[in-house]
Amino acid sequence: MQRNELIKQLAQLLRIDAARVTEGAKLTDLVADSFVLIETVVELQELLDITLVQEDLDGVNTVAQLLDVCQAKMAA
Amino acid sequence: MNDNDRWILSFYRHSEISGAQFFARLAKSLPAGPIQFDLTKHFADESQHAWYWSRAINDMGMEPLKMTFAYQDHYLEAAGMPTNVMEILALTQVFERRIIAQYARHARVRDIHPAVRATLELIMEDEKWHIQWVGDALKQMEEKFGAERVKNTYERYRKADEEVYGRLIAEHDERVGHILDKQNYAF
Repeated sequence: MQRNELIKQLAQLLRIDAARVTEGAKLTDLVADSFVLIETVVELQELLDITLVQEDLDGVNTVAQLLDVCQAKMAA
Repeated sequence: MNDNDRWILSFYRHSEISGAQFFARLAKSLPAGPIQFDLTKHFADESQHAWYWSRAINDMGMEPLKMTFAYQDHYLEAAGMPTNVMEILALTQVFERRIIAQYARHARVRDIHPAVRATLELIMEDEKWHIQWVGDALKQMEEKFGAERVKNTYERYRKADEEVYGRLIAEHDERVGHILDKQNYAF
């Protein structure tokens, strides 16, 4: 899946306008609360057929960082 | 009922609502299967518990206080964000054990209002099933994540829970201290 397609999918999961989901956007700025972020990360794994664990997201703050982790898992 | 009783029952109610909301979201997100099935029942129970507390407070002639935080809110800060269903269930298991221990202590306090005792006993029955199904689900997840990782994840959240509980008790000692003081227990 291409990067721009991933961003579109992420915007859909977050239920927000794709224009807000820029590479540099902070994840916490895109969600109403942390529980929405947990839900989104779980849904993203289902969608991409990958498994993330907590250490994978250590230091992940932005959309770009999250997508990098997901793409690395998809490629593995 | 004094102000402290009203506060603690409102806090229980608020935390049950937060649990219900979180599990409701997850029940929508997860694919069909045994975990989705049990999680749907779990969130229905949490909603019911919030209603039980609303009813108990009402029976005592009061209204719930508007709370600004739930117990679960502090977990993310203490232990980081769970990222997959196994981590969420490990956190849930720790939380459920904390709830049942807290409610059991509260039920031992001498002279509590009959509506409070009845509500605590009603909810504790459901909590036993919550611990059972989540434990079974975690056992099954050992196949995918490995027993060691599941155990370590549970342990990480258990430590975080101890930290959160200790902090909350210290912060709200004047409101909850009487529940933890064994001298106030009837049995």
